[in-house]
Amino acid sequence: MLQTKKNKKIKIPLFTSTIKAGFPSPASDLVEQELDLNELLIRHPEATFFVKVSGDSMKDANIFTGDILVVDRSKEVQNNNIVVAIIDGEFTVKRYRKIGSNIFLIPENKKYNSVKITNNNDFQIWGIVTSIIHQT
Amino acid sequence: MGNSYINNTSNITNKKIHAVVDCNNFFVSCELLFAPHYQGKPVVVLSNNDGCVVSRSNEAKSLGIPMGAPAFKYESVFQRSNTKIFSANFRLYGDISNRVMKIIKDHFSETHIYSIDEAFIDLSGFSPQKALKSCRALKRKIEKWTGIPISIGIASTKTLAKVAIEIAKKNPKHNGVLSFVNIEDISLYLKRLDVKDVWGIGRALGPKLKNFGITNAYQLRDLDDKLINRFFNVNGRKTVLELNEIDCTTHSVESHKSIISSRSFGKPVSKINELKEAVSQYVSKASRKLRKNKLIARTVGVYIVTNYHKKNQPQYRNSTKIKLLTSTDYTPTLIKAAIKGLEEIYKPGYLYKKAGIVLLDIRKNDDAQYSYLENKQKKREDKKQNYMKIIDKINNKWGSYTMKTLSEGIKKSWKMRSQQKSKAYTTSWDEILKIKI
Repeated sequence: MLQTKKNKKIKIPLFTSTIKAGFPSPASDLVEQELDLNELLIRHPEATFFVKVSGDSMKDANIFTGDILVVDRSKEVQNNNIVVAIIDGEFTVKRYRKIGSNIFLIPENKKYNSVKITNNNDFQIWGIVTSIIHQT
Repeated sequence: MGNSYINNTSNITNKKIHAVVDCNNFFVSCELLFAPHYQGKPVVVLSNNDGCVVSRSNEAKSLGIPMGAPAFKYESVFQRSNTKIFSANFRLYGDISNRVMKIIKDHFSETHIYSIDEAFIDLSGFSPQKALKSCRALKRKIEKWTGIPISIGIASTKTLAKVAIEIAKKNPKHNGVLSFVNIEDISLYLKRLDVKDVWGIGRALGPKLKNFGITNAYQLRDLDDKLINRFFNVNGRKTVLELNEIDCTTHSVESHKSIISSRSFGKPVSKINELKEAVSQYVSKASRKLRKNKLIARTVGVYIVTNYHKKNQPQYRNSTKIKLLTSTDYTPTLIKAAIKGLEEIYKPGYLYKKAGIVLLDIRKNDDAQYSYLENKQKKREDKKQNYMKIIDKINNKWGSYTMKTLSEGIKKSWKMRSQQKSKAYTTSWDEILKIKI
């Protein structure tokens, strides 16, 4: 409750916009923006590609047949990243692990063996998997 | 030439710096991104229409397959060398190009996209060291983010930047980036470039110059004034000036001109076929204007509108713009775009009172401004130009469908042994890269 002293001048701000009659919406001042999946999942659109996988070698990482991977080429690879890689001309998706100066590509399924990258292998990292889209 | 200005670069602090960025073997590089097992092998991309080679891997170049070669002619070479053939996949190339160009534009505000795989950057204000360093960083970024290898040439004029990039592409010791602004004397480099490879020197001019003993860019640079005036029109003179580090940048590379062609219908039109015919005629009219003024356009806008005075009738108006991969004045291409736009906006059940088209993104049809790819297709384009002259006459009498028939007649049909169009990996969910893991 505003209290005023008698005879004291009070400055009243002039509204610069018209006031509509009726009850104002509590949401009208809020900036309205719809939720956008692109904003959530794609940090660098120019470097982002999508890949669809089939096979079970990464099931323990929750990657299943039919899943779509969001792949970001802008990122530098870090230990334990899930990567899309090319070995001897073939695409694969595995977990990247570097121990000392040795690089390993590790499946996430006990049925499969890890692969150690040697000088004989033609190896490149194509991109880092940042999200897995699994539709139910 | 209207808005051109000439900048004398004797004041070092005001030195202009231009960079040109070009994707190496662009279409092939796009394919290799998704088909890495072909890296290091001979690969070509063939255009859809008449089976010409429009892109080659370095290994295919080494086999002596020339750019623009008709595919049927080299069939045995392809077979013998196990060359991988791709049919052009423009949905893919357009998207990858957008990515590359966006990266460049995000880095440098003064970027001008020149073609699907080439862009100029105005680096004036940068120190020579910073220009070189930034361009090297840009190259690393584009290659990492998109997988497309690029080359960059840096110099005080665009023509010299193009000289630098040609040399960078041919000599691996430059690691894809060559700057002339850090070098005192570029004569040795200019001597290494054949005169016909200088930007702005057309096919016809190369042999003529050679007859006069001008075989490389160095000799062209030092050409006597009298001979310059004898050989060259205003564009050619610009080339020589730019070789001498005199910047001849024209401001109106992308002019604000537009050409509109439209008409109100005497009787209202509701069928799409009638609208298509009308739109085709408007495009023909507008593109005649283009050719007459030696201009080319890159965007076609279409609009349709009902009669707003008839308030009791249902009202609809809509418009759209179709952007082409490259600028053109070739009517069938422009018509195709306009029809596509019309199909997008047309709604049945309305009585249309007016339709119109507008040609946008107009610039001068300068020989020098053909990209490398377009240059090699120039012979086919010249043929098309001759047809267009005939067609312009016929069009007045018979209308646009005649042109369609004629253009189909130009195509050669050749059954390609291993015709293969790759998937739209980046523009269609059904066609994204599939990996077995």
